[in-house]
Amino acid sequence: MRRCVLALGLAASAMSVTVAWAADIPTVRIGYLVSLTGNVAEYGRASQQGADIAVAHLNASGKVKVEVLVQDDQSTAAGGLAGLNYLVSQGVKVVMGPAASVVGVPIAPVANRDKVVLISPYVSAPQFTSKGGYTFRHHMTAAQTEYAFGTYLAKKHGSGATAAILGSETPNSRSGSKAFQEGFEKAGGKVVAFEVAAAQATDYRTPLAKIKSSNPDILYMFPDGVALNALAVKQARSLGIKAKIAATSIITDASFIRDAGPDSEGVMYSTEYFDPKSSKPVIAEFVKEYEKRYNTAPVVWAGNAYDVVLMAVQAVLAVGNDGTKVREWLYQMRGWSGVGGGDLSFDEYGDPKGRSQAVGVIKDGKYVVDDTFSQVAMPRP
Amino acid sequence: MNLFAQLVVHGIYAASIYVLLGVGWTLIFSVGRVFHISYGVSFAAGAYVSAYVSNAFGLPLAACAVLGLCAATAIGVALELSLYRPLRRRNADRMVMLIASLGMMAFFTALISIAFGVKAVSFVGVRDEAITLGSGVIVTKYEMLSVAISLVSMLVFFTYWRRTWGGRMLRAVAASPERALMSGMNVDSVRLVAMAIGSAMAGLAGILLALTEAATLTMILTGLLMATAAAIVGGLGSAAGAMIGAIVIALSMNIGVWHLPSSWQQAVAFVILLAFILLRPQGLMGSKVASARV
Repeated sequence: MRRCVLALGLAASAMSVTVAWAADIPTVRIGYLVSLTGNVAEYGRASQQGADIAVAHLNASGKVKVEVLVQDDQSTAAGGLAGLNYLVSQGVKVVMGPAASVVGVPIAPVANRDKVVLISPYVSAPQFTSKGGYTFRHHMTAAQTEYAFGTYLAKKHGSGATAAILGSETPNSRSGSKAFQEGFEKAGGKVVAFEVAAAQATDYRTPLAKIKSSNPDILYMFPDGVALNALAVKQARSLGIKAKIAATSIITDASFIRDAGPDSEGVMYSTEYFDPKSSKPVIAEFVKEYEKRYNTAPVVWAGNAYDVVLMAVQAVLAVGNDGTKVREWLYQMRGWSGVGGGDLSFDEYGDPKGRSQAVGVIKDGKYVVDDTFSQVAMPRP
Repeated sequence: MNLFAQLVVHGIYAASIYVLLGVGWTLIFSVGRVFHISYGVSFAAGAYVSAYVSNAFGLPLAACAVLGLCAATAIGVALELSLYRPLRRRNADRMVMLIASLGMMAFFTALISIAFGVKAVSFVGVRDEAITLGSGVIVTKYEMLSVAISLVSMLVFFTYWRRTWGGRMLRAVAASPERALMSGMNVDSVRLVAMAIGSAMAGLAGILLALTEAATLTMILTGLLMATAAAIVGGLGSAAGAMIGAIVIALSMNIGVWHLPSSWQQAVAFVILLAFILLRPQGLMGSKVASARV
């Protein structure tokens, strides 16, 4: 009995220490709403991995205690809505996510209605954000990056450059491919073929045969998925297409090089600028930790998610757990420095300003950045 | 490059896959008297299992193919024994069997996504080689292999179907299960054999497809659609008809987009299917029912 009383006494004193320690540092509760299952789970998983590192860094700093509620949107609008409703019911006011446009676009009006701030690391559909809304993205739209990529390639190749486009039946691919065409043609190039395959097609040989007969200098491809890009590249090369191949940031997932094998050599890509080899401390530290934890190099949206968590926690610490005040804080934010860039802010729609874009090429089985340039301003559609 | 010739070459390759799908499904439909909705699961299982064991264990292609075939056949046999046979014994309506099969398709789709993930799985490190046929028309090593294997499979199957005692039993049950039963045949066993052969054909099609493309969850549905489309165009219940139907669909899907955008490929297939349903519902090889009385 005496032992029992002693144990209870010790437990009580330990609890009082914990409470006292916890009372000294503020607790911030945020949500993750990302695709962990379903057909775009690759976007959600990497986002969560990047965000988890930010949470670990913040908690290790001893200045704040970050609590996270994770919801899987299952890559569907219905899953996203259920996840958002749950987070709202738990009093969460700032959410990292969603990672996919197919989820982000339908739930954006709900976030605006419930005054919950969503900051996405990878949604690229323009409709996700609205003027003065509660939805933000730390990611350039596909239209922005692909327009600039088209312009870059046409200028680099010189006058009379020709390109053929292989897209797929998804909103992301449609808007990105169209923007590439506009950028390429505006800079003096000519698109000689524009073929579109079914959304989840694995056989691209018929559209590729048509593209081959148009004999382009550049083959630009935008199937919506890492593995699908690898298939398209393999099939293009097996059909004897010799044109330079250019693809989107989707192929910066390392499984592309594994799946496409030697055919991935020389494939060009464009992405938001994020150089894992950068000596900038914030990037170097993030990359080192990411590689240590997950044994692979981080993709751009993992870095974006890392930034989003830091931003969200900083906002809540500054103005409290209030969706409207956090929204105002984000609109006012200037010169924010993170993995995704050194001078970031949001425009009146909640879209990023001040990001950089990189053009790279796969050399010896590695992603090598060739050139970088500042974010190109594009009129909103 | 001669674009038309290239599209024909690719159409022939696509036909080699669809023929296996169409004939296998028709065999199950005619002998088993079941609209086998879960058929695409065997197609996907062949593709996933063969690609997975190749990537994970580095086994030779032939061994991967054997394992893929075993998985596809096992799924078909398991469905026959655990679902279709008990339902037939209870005199279940065809609609009940169809809905039960639909449920199993949903179950296996979830199971495959848990086992292999949602991303496309291809044979990593297996490299195809291009062969130029002349005037720039290209065919790859595995496309030629696919056509050759499909041709040999059809020869073996139709020889078995037409010339052997086992084939005669299959045809007898397809023509009239009641008369086959009265003549002393073990109809259940014959149906099991039909299911095994049909599922193996779907698995083989899946393996050949994964060699040049990849295993994906969507192939569960597209496999079923292509198989049923081939069977309907060829004439429901006719194995030879399904083979011809598959060739017609594959060639039209490829040649049909010669002057059309490639996104119309599937639309071309369904226009042909619709035309047959409206204008020639008995298909290419089926016989017309002159009149029917209820």
